[in-house]
Amino acid sequence: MQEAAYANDNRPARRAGRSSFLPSDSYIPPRMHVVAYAIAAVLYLAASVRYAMRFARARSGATALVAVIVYAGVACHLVGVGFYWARFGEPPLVGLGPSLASLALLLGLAIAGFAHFRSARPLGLFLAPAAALLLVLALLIGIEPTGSVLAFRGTWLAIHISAGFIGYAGWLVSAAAALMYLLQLRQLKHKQLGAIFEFFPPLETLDELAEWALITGFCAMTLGIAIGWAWTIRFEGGFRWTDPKVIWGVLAWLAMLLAIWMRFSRLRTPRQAAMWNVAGFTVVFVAYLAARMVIPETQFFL
Amino acid sequence: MPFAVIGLSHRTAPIEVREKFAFGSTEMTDVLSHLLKGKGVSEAALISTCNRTEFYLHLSDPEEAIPRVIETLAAQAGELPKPAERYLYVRRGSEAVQHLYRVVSGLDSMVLGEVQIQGQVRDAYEMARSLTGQRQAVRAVFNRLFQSALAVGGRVRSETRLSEGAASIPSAAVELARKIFGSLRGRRGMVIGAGDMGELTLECLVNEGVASVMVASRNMVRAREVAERFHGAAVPFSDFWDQLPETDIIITSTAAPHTMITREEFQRRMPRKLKSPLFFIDIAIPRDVDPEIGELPNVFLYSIDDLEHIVTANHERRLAEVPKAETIIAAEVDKFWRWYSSLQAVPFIRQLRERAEGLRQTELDRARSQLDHLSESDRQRIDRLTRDLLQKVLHQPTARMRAAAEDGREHDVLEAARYLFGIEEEDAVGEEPRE
Repeated sequence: MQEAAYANDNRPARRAGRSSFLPSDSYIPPRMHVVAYAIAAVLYLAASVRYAMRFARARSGATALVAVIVYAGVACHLVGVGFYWARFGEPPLVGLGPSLASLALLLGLAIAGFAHFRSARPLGLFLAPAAALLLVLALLIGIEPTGSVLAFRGTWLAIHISAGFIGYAGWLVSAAAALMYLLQLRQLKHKQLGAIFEFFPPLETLDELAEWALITGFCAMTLGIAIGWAWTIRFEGGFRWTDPKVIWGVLAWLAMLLAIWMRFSRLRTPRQAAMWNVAGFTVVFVAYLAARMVIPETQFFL
Repeated sequence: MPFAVIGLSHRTAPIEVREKFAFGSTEMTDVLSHLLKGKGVSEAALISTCNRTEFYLHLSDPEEAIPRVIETLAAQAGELPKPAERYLYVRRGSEAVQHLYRVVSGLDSMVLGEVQIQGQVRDAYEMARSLTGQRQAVRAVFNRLFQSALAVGGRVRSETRLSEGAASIPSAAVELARKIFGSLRGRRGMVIGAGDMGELTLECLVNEGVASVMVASRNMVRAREVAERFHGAAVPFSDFWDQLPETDIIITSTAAPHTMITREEFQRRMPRKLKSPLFFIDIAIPRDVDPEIGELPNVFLYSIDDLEHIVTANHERRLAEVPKAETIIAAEVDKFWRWYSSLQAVPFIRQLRERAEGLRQTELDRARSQLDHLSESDRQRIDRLTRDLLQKVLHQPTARMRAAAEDGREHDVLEAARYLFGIEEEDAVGEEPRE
């Protein structure tokens, strides 16, 4: 639903290497945003290594040092976003590279939030490598707007894309927590109390985190789809049900809805809810990979 | 060897002997004051717990003080199956320091790596520090000794895994409960059959925040007694099934010869899908809970064998950390001992500085009488100049003397220095380093 937004490619400020909202004599070095993103990626990788070492040594939870590394990574990431915005005159939402970088930022923010609470800190074991991987991929692809200019119709399109990203990030966090729940449950049930038992948070904490992240993600996703729907009706004259992106977006939303229903259904146990959560996320992720293979990159925002 | 530790512990005496040597808090202050009044003891502290009674002493006359402390301990114990000396140990010098460091680190504890001993040593130190009067129990040397000991305890616990993992059946149960529920605050617990181990486990859970407690027993008098202790409610044994759906943690420790909670009965009485976890701690032999119940969704069942397995695994893990802890302790004993040895140079350094300051004042007074024309600020400037000069001249020799003392060469170096500066040896007894 984004390709209509890439209207005429007439971005003189961007071509000149400066933002339209900066004073005319200010100069933004051309690769500063890439440097900031690269430093953030290194810090996420460092945090991933710390998490993995702690887990491998079967130590209880994660230390404050890893929280500091994550905070530094997020700070660098935000600086990168600032440089990007200043250079291209728009937030990093259009094109595969910027989209992946923004998704990584949301994960970084989630890890930083969890890092604040000792019991939730181990979630970074899965999320920190995911953030690092997304950011490294973005750097390899190139963090620059691709295709046509993002023709903002007010700020609605930016909200639509951001809400979608928050939805996917929420779901990824929820799936990570649900997976950790299943692994911790297995250790407790089988009475094999190893590294997972020591490092992972308690079952109820994981269950609550998965639920909270899923609800947050679902609300954001619903908002994103609603805005996208209204936006296409307003500017395109109708909702295009045959568009693979639309199908994928609606599929993701339905899968989330199903996962929420499973979680709140009286007939299901927390284990079943966690399994549905992980399975739903996996299906949507595989669908995304399949969609990417058939849809030209210029038509895909993520 | 001016340090000594004299006492007994779980390693040298059984509980019935240890409890005879134990001191109450009032007795502790009295006995320390008594020891300090006598000859030979400069500083003293007393650790008295259920597993040990130990006097830590800084002695000016070990030959006189040590027999007196042993007599004091024997008098406290009264009649014993064997002579008191058979249970007591005496460690001197750096061995005494090492012993304190091992004790505070939990290496000498009955449960390897236990953490309570750190607080108990801190309390003993604070109690000795609080003693005032004619002679203080803790001065510069013991302040340094006990503060370093507490720091060593902290270091061992943070740098090794000596205190990690549950070391007893009740603590293993608490650890599992925490991994299932997170915080135990506000959780509901029930103990079925009020045996000692069940009560102990319940106590640990209550200490972790379990709020509502129920006790179901065939012996209602005993049930009320236990329930009262934990501000809970006693219920007749036959009613425990009715309470089960309202409970999060269930400890079973009955003497029943058969399984009390069968899978069929459990499934008949409980909701089909449990939304919140149910944790069974079955510490009865034979088991009270059907093992198949543990296979049900959201039910966690641990028997006494499972808990013992956890405790054994943790103990083995703790044992593997002992060499690391011993390395830290050895390095810290060496550090303390170097500091303590450096104190041998303190009396000489003090004498040297006093002598030099006296000379400076004399020469300054003489010079001032010949320099009447100088203003007050000029006189002050000269005073400062001579003081700074003296400091600089004496800095290197005093630093070298401290270093020599730390390295154990104090005798030769101090002898030479006394000869060179013409300073006679003073009676060092009663010399106290400044804190």
